[in-house]
Amino acid sequence: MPRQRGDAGRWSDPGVLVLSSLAGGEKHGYAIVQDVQRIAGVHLGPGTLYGALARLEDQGLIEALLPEGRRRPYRITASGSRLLDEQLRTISAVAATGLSRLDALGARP
Amino acid sequence: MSAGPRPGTLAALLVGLYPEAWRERYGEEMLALVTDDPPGPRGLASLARGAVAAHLRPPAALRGPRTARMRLSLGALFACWLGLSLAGLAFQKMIENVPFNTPLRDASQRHELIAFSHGAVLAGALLGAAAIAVGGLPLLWLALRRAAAPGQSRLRALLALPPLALLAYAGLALVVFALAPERGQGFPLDWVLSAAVPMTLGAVLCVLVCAAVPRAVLRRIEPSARALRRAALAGIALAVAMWVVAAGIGVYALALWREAPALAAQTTGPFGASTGATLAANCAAALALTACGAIAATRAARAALTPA
Repeated sequence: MPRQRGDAGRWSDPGVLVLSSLAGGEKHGYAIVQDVQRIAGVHLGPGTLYGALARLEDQGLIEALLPEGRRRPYRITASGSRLLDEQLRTISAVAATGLSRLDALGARP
Repeated sequence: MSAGPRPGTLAALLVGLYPEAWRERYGEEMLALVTDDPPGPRGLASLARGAVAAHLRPPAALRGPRTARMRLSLGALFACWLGLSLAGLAFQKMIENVPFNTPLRDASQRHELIAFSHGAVLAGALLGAAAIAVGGLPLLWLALRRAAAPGQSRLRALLALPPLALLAYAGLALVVFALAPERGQGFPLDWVLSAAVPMTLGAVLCVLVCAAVPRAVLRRIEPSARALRRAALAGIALAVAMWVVAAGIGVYALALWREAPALAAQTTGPFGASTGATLAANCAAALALTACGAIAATRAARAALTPA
């Protein structure tokens, strides 16, 4: 289900979403869009997706593979995996803390 | 071989707005993506935002040599300035044409904001011309010196194109005016409106030629980084001048609509469009060209100020 507006923040940073998608295996642009939609409920626009791919490739966090027709698959690199691991651990720690505080408040549904 | 499904025209056009190096690297796969997943309005907006970002902050691997970036950006800035000059000329011709000029002069005398914004357009045009002179004339001089050398026939042909285009435009103007009906007290409005179509198309073609040539010439003569740096710094002044002109046209259109609504509602625009609508279209074109010029000037200045 698509997310509501205003709940994005850095958790849906396109770079993190693309890295998370590629952590599941190499994919080309459209496959990444579909995968991100499935795992995060976010539809990446074409400009956003390729902006993220270009930045990640420039930083050596992903690498382009040989094209398959007009489509070019991408693969996460070792440094990309390390960075994603750090990012997701931070997100996870913040999420756990936030949830426990909401529990203490009795504010969770 | 089958060409396969094709992307939407608008999406393909927006992909075409990305920088050349970007298109060479990602263009084909982006077109494949917009074919697989045709973008709606938000997707198209994403492409437009991405194109602006790609121009302002291209990835390091796609930036190319510093001098090449300066050359490309300066060529684009000059093209935007020429386009804006055309918009400014259209603005000037429109507000000075009969039967608009007399009531307009009265409106300018009565309303300070209209007079001030008209003055701002002229001041911006002068500042822009000065910036072109400081940054562009040394490059033109270099191109002329190189063209004088033997074996530079292609460069000579390139340099001859803008004067030829201007001559052709002058010839078109002569033909149009030769076909004009008998002139009593000024030309009839119907004739002015129909003559505006070939004159405008000719002006656009002339500007396109004049805009394309500097970029090709700069690529051919490969000026020094120092000359390009001076031109890039003059480009900042040119971008400021463009904002002044665009803001002047915009304020003028708003002030006219607010202060002299009867004049804004007159049908002196092409094809009988209202003066206000024509000024608004002129203003939109001026703003778009100014925004593109500002991007180009920023890129040129950034490349100029980056250590080699």
